[in-house]
Amino acid sequence: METHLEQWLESKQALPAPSLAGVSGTVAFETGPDARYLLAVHDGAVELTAGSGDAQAVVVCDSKEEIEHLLRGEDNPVVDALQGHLSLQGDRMLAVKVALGLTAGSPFSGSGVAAREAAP
Amino acid sequence: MIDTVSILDGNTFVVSDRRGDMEATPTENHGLFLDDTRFLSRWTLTVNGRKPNVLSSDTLHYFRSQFYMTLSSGTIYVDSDMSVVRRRAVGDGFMEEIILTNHGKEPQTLEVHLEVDADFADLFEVKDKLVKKGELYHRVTDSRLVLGYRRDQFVRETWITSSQPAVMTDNALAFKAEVPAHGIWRTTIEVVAVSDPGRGTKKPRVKYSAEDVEPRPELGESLQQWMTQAPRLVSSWAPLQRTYERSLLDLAALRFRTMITPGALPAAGLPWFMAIFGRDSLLTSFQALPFTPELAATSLELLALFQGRVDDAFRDEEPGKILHEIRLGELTAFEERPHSPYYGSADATPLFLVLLEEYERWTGDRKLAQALEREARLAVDWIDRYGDRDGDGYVEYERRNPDTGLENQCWKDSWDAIAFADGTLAPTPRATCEIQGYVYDAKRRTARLAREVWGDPAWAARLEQDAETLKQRFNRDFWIPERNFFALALDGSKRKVDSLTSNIGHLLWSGIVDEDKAAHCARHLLGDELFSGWGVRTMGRKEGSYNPIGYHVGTVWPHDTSLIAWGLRRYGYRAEAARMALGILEAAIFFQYRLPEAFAGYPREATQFPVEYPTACSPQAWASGAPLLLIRTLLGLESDGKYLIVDPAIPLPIERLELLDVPGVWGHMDAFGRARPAFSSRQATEQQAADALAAV
Repeated sequence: METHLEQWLESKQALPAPSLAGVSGTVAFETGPDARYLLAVHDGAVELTAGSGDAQAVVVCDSKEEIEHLLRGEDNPVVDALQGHLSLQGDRMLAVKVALGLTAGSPFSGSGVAAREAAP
Repeated sequence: MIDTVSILDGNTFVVSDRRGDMEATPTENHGLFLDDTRFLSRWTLTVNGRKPNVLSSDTLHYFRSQFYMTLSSGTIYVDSDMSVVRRRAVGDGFMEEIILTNHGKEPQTLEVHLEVDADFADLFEVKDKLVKKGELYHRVTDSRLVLGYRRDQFVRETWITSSQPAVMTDNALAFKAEVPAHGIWRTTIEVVAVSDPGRGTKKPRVKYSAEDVEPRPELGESLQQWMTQAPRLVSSWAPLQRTYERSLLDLAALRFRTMITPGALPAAGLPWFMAIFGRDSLLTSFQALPFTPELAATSLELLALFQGRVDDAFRDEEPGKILHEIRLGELTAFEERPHSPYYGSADATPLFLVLLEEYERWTGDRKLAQALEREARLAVDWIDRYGDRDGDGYVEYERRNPDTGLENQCWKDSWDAIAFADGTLAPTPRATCEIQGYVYDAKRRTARLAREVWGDPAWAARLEQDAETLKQRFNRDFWIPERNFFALALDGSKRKVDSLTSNIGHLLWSGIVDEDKAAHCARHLLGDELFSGWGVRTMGRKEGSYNPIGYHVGTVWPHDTSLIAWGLRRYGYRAEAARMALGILEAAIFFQYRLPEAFAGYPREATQFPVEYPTACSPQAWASGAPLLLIRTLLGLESDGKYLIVDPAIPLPIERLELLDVPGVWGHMDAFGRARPAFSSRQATEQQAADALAAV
């Protein structure tokens, strides 16, 4: 599956993320040293870059698709963690705040997680 | 008699029989549990093919137990010459030491056999008798027996190793024990619960070795610090001292660490509820606030972190809503249950606001209150926009997940809890009375924070106006004049659900009750229908659904009574509150000073001792918190934001009560109280005042 990560990196600008209002810090999403993306959050705006820069929190994912899902706010991060798709390091509170915040509206997706029908 | 032995440490717990054996069945919840998964369902010891006989078994500490047994000689006329001792310490699995002591003059060779198995049942599977969807496997590698379960990337394993050489098969460890005359044989077995083996760099290990006798903290303070930082209680009534210490120890044991926020918050209770529950964490933190305020801070932070963000019917989630429960087992992982987190609780959101204000007023910690302003505003918004589903001014609930959501989203959340006096169930949506009280209280308290901490007097005024309007409407719409109490709820057709229940006591705690109606409520709460002599029954005994051993329809819940006693104090019923507090504290004596989640509602005069409820959790967080709130009630402890107010009303058996070094915004202060035979009820006080006036 082709990811949109590279596409998002090209935008090179801060994107509005109202669902992350009140949150600030940098979270790295990575599958390993070769695939590491830094999401800098500044009180309701985010900027995505690639590279090995510092981050307060790290979300270690099992695939780039997983990173994309999280950035789009499509996945429940608690479920993904329980299924073994991701683990957290560093400031876990920040990581959870950002990952959950994106589910309520992500600049990388139209609407974040859509309202669900009762029971899957 | 209690026939199980439970020990716990953080998120891990072990439930066994009095021999130390675990044999999980649909009726026995034995096993080793971690993160809502049973990592061991069978663990039985035989020596020479027979189970040893129990001499005694005990929990030495909340994380450690021991079992003294003997091998039967086959006849009562011949003493056994072989002792069998098992010592066990839980933490990320458990460590077990098996010691055979030969008291005889001849050496003995014994076959020691441990039968093992793991069903890796999710707690919901245990409760609902479901079958597993993944693959179970066993293997022996490098002297380690591995019991495992795999479903896609969800992998859980139990690793078993022994210090003595053992013959390991898929389901057993067998030892040939050579025990010299007057000598011993011992082995130490490690049982490690491993989630996602291979992930992470740290080798999974159990927390304790055979030598550890004191608990070691995961993070932060030790148990010793925990106990010494809490106020010191001195009382002439010894049972109160013991109950207090037991409560503090149990709250220490129930501290739940998430690795997300620093600190710990109370898990709800053993065995079914070793998880984060919004309501339970909030109420327990409220009860414990004058004693261990750090629990409240962590509860507020963590619940704020998981505050609802989206509209999700599966999880009953809405923006601003405080969660009901988080689970970490397989069914949650695969979204066969909605607990990631589940938000089916209509009262946790107002209770979050209540605790936030109480915490700030008690501790003076403005920093946390300032940090949570956004979450507080979202919580109020949830109450008005989502909690009040139909715009009638009351918060009501109806689950949006009909398959696995909770039917009742108030504290009495069993299916039959909300019933009319004739026993028929109330149709949904249901607006239970106590939730309206919590909303009233939450708005008044939030108004104070808005004015004094967040600098928003206009919002404060709006909140106070909302609260006042709610109070007026509530006293009109919920009051049942022909029975002189408040309806348990309004049902889906806005009919009053007319059962007499303990919920009316929560209304006193909230302050929503008009003065003229409070006296009626107090009379009911202390009357024969509700008051068992030990505590307040969840439902009056003349109601259609009443059952003294019905979970929420007749049992006595210590936490319920503690909130009611505090509510009686709020309205000036000092003697009544003291009587109620004493009833629960006397009941604790019969439970070895550890109050269970609930006990039977039989009248005290009929049974003479409190009768156990068969499946009550113990220890359970808000039951452990109950004595703390009752002590606060007896001493009349309150904070005005600057000073500790002490206004004791102590019943006679207690005589003297001292609580030293009560922490708060004032630093540390002491509170003293002693029993005064003549201290009187509010009615008597009012009558005396009236008589005095008349005399003048």
